[in-house]
Amino acid sequence: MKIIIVGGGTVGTAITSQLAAENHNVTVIDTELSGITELSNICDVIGILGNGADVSVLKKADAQRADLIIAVTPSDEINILCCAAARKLGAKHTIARVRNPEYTELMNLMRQDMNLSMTVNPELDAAQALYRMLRYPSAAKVETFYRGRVELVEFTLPAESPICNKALSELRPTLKSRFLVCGVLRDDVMYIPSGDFVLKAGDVISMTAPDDDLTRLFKAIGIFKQPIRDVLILGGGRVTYYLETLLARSKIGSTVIEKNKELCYTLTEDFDCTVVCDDGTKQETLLEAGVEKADALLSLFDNDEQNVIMSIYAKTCRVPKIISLIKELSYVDFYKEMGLESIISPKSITASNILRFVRAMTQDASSEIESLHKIMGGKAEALAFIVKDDIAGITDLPLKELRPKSGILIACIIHKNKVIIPAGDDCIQKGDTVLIVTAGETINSIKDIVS
Amino acid sequence: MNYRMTGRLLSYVLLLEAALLLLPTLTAIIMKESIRPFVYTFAILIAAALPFLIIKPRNTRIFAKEGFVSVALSWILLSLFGALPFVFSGAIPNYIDAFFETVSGFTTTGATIMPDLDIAPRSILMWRAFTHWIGGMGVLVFVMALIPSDGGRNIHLLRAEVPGPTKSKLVPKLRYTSVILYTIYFVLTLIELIALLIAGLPFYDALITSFSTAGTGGFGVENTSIAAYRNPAVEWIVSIFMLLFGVNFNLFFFILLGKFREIFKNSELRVYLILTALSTAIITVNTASLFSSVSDALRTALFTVTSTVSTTGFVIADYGTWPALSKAIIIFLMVMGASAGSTAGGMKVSRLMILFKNMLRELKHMLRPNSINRIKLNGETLEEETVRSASNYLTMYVSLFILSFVLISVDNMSIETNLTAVLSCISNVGPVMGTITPFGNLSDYSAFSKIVLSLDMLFGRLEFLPMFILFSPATYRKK
Repeated sequence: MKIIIVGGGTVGTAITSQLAAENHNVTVIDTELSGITELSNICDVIGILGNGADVSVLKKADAQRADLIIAVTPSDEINILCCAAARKLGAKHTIARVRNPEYTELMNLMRQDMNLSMTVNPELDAAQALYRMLRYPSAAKVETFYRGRVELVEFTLPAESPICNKALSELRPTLKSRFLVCGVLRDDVMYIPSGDFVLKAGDVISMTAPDDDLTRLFKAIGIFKQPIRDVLILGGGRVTYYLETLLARSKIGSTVIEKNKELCYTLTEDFDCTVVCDDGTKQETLLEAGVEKADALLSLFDNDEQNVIMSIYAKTCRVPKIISLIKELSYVDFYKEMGLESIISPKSITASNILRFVRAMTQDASSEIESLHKIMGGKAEALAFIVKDDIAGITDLPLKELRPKSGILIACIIHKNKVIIPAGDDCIQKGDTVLIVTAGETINSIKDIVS
Repeated sequence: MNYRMTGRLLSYVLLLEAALLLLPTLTAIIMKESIRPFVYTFAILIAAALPFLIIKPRNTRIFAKEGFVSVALSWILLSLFGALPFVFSGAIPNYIDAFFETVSGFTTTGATIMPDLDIAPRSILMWRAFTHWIGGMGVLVFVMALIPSDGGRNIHLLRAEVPGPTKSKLVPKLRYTSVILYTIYFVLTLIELIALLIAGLPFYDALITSFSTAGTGGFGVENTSIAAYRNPAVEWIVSIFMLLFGVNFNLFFFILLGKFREIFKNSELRVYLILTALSTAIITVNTASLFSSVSDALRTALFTVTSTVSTTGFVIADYGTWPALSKAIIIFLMVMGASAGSTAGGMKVSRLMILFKNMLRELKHMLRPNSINRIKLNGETLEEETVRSASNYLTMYVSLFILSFVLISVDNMSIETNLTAVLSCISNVGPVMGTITPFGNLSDYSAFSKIVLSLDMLFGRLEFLPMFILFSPATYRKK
């Protein structure tokens, strides 16, 4: 597909490298020459210098014949303008990044007129992910599928857990819940495990389970943490703003520490949370805000280094749940080694949202991608497909007779609103939603799971 | 340095060369000549390529450094192995001579050391001309069209191999860019072949002449080059195609896309055509007295001008005996060369334009120190980086020229011969003037001078940087 990406910032870079690797024809437009040169040195893409909302620049990028334009410059206005212009020129689909909360309503109002295929908002995506993590503090990472009915959770197996050193086939009788282990990350290698796979302490496990069974499951595994009632948030930027809108609907109380007075005012005006106007990196401030008694600490500064340092400090204060916001993903492995378990990155969430859209465009009519998530630190993907048609060799076939490619696992089937954690006798039927976990293989359609 | 990955790229190049030997082998079969020289070389190439194909690189990441080194090394290796058929067949018994001839082939120079082509096997002459065709567009560009690119880092190879001050892809995917360039190249060659056949050349001669023109090389079948055919139609056709192969290939792509505005916007093309017309006009007037008719003078002048400016080096008249003004113009065209992004050598018209505009800008800056001036080319403002690298190119050109000029003077040939030999090799033109006529050959030079001139051809074809980087010790330091 012919894709134009406007803006070569962090999100732009993430999407560009991903899409170029998936063999799309990518053109990048940016106003900075250095960004373009760097991108075209590491990815097989072509770069154009200029403003993405300038029609002559768009024409130079051949926007008339583009299948998709993704506008992710730092400015919301330019993104909206660029998409509108590209659409007018003849581009088939447009995606704009719109971050300012003040524009949320505008986008709902205008999406039709502007012909936008999709808007993305990294900060809102990040806030939603944070909210899910706060609801299930036991897991390092939570992804929801099928309107919250199925959860895909990621956690590190502690040494004291009763499931350590047990084969997967022995687990179901002991745990007495429905679940499926989709992937195990051990020593940086991703495994799609079979029944005789033995779990060890320190493994990062990815598991699907129905929403209702999750608490019971966590208790049985021995990683259950008390529900969070009180959270301390460092930094009062956009992510915090969006998170507060979600927290307002829940029972979780929050304290925000933010240096900038304007931001503090906005937060207090819009939400009934405690807002402290002070430097969140100072120990005195944190102690005063009650860091030692908080159920959770979210470090959401603009600066990665500050977030890492504050998270490590919170660990020494024995805060049960610590989540850090990290923008630059190159060092994530290193941070995890330093003990930061829950890391959230707005750009990678947005990148996978856009990726889902692109995959959905390339797929055939027999199935539709409902959602796509990168799991296990990007080493695997979890995709939910809606099966729209009967497909020979896949539907109405008991799973034990289905021979998927290696590295592909059918993690969950939702049949007529019922969550089925699949066993050998279950089968995929027309109209089902199927959750697939894949390591390595790129999947655009449900057909791709068999060779 | 990622040695394994560099080795792997070089192996691909050697495999490609092995595959390319099929054409001369086929010629040998048809002409009932020995295929042994090619079969032996084929076997040696496969054996040389194997080790690095078996060893898997630990990572496939290459940076600018690996790109430059791979390109420089692959051209040297191509020539080292490509020389073998000449030696095995006995056409050129001396290996250094054979190496010179092959470098001259791949770099599309066309300077020869073969005194008599009539006694050489036809298959060897085919191989000689075919190296022009491959070298013209670039070997790694060809490899990239064949192998699927892993990641985008192969762009470093394209940058190091494709000539010109600015380099860009035509389409986002590098592989398609290579495919498009080679398709245009192939189709143009085919059209010339058909035109020459219609003009009455035998198929074998037409094919060799087409390969030679397309790569802007200059190797032919006859000792007296194109003059041997005594066919004005052939001379017109070859002139036109030499002119065409000196045009930036991106422009042909724009024609295919129907973007004619890009053609009119291209100031390099304009200057290239104007200078060609002007030179032809001056030389026609200057040499009119030497010819029986004006049309003869015009045709000869046009042929000589297009042959020199496109750095092909075909000859239909001994211009060594022409008036000094005509010779001076020919030497200027030799140094300049044709457009960036074509198969021609030389400094390139656009680079000269940048240097000239930069000079004017400096003068203006002297008069009004606070004035801001940017240099434009083809309707677009250039990055200062590009201007700087053009100046750097000039420095490298002059340095290499002076050094080589002094080095080959040890053979005690005339100054004019030495001067034109060095310029001709750096610009990949071929013919020389002076004691050796443009029809002549360089076999009188010593082995030492032949090596110096071979290196000049490689430096010139790759526009200096890859070769300088290859020979710089800093490239191999860990830090």
